[in-house]
Amino acid sequence: MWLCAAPAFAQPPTPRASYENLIGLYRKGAFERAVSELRFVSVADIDEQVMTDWARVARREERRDDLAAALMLHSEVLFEEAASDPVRLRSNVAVRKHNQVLDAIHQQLRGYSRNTPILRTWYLLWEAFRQGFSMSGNVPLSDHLDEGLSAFPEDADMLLTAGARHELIWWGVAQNPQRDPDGNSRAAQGSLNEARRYLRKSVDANPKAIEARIRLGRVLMLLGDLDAAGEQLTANSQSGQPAFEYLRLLFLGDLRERQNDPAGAMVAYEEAIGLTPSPQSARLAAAQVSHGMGRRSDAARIATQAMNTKRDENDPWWGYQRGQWWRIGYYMKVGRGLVVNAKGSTR
Amino acid sequence: MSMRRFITATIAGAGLIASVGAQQIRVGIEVVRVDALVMAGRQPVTGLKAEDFDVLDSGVAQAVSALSFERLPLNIICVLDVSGSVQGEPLRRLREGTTAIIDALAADDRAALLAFSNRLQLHTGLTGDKEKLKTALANVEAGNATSMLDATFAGLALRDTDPGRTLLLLFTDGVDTASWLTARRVLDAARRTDVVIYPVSVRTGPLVTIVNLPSGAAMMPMRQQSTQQGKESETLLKAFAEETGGRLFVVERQTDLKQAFLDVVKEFRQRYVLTYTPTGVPAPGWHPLEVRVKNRNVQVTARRGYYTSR
Repeated sequence: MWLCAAPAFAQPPTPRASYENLIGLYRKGAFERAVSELRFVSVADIDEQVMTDWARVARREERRDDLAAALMLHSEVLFEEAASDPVRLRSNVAVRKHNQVLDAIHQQLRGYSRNTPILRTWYLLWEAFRQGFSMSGNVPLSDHLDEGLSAFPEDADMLLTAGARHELIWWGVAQNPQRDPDGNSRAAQGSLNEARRYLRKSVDANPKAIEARIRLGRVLMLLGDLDAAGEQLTANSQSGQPAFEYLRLLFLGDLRERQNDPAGAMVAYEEAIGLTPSPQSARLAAAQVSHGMGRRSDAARIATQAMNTKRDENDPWWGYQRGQWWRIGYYMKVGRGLVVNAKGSTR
Repeated sequence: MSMRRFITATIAGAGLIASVGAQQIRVGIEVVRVDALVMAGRQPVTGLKAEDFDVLDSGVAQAVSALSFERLPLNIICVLDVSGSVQGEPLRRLREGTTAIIDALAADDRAALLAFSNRLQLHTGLTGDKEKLKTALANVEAGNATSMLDATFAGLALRDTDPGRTLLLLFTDGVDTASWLTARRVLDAARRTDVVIYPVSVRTGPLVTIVNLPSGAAMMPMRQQSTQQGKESETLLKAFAEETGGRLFVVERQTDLKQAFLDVVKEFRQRYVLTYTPTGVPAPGWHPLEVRVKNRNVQVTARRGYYTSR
């Protein structure tokens, strides 16, 4: 019998070590790789318990930055999972798993400090993602907005995000005219009142923030306070951001219609069309006003123009309807930056 | 001379004006045209004469001066939902059904093709050229969210000054997710035209919405159509039909779509067009209408009223 030494294979890393390696990768800026590996490669080895346990034992102060990285990493993985199979979001096991792990990580992080920049960014990012799905009803993701508001009660962006959420809740109620023809039900009005409260605070906290002002103007209009709405929608008219300027003019046109001023509405809609010609919403609004004024040929002409606009550009109205969804890319970039620039130890 | 040219020539030759509202065709004095479907159970009732009808305009009985049946050329405005949920096999079925409508056009009929997701696209305006319509149909693609209300209004706005009858066939399989216009405003526009809306709805499951973020990232929020949302959507479609004198068709399977489309066109051809000169009614404003058939146990479907500005 020959005896020979066993080949010196390296021991495979433990699931926990593999998991910590992924967090390290993310911290070094290899975001896509870390997300991809956690999502596709390592997920079979690193089960939910490993990740949750890791979050619970990572209590030492120097691990805080690792926890922040894990918070962003799991969020990105969850977003990818949700986007890959949005139809079955509620029954998506991976989404549920990462949501639970995120709850555990979040609990640890806020145990260190409740108002760190990474938590602020994550609250905004998380809520922006939830708002993108909000019109589907109950989103199977944990709700952290109240914690964000509690930790950052004067933060203009947090207040804007809260206002946008209540505006979306109103939209969900009021969208079907058979259920609530003018959004006047108690539930709908309650949502609008909450939206007004948060948005007004947001404007007070940052008077130069154009989005909060535009949303506040629309909400005031929906509440029937047309004069106050006009004040918001005509203030700061030069935002320097074409999409917001377009929306401001679109809502101003709507306001003029509600004030029984179709000529004023046409002026606003035509200004919006002149600003950025591709979106359809302002053209359709103008066509509808013309139609109501009995100018059927004009209505047909403008509607036809609307349907012949370029296909490769989005309408700001479509983004507006999804609350803070449009900010996901920005918040993700900020969150990644905070993680990469953190100085804490990885071990 | 074709029927379309005959009508146009008759009006023009008399030195009269066809108004753009089309609900009222002003020919020196104002007349009102009402499009009515008369059914006995599931069968359309034919052979009725003007004197068989009672028409109440704002509660005041009117004398029907003219009646036609299956004789006026049709304008069919196809407003087709091509949002994300229609991708694949449903789009094939939709094309099949629309092709059947095109093939069923008579010599004087015209059709238009308007497809919508979140974006509206007019593939072709009203034309009698069947090949042009089929080519346009072949270019229709599916994807993205649903702007059903915006598209319905745009279809109504396409109604031109032609004196033919206009059917707006509205196909959708879900709830509105992206329109700027509200249902109230679109219903108001529907009341201001003589277009008859026939919605055709397919009951489906989930809807997928694709949104491109300004940051460049593309993700897909989902909109799950619940049973409740489906019912509410049908209620809205029914309101469009009832306001304009049309009828809602609901099909359970995509495979039934072609037959539903053909049934809509067939039913629209079997409607009566009643004309009268309003007498003893207040103006301007909303005029509620009631159309009945004397001494017959039948159901009459007609628009609920019309607006007049003078």
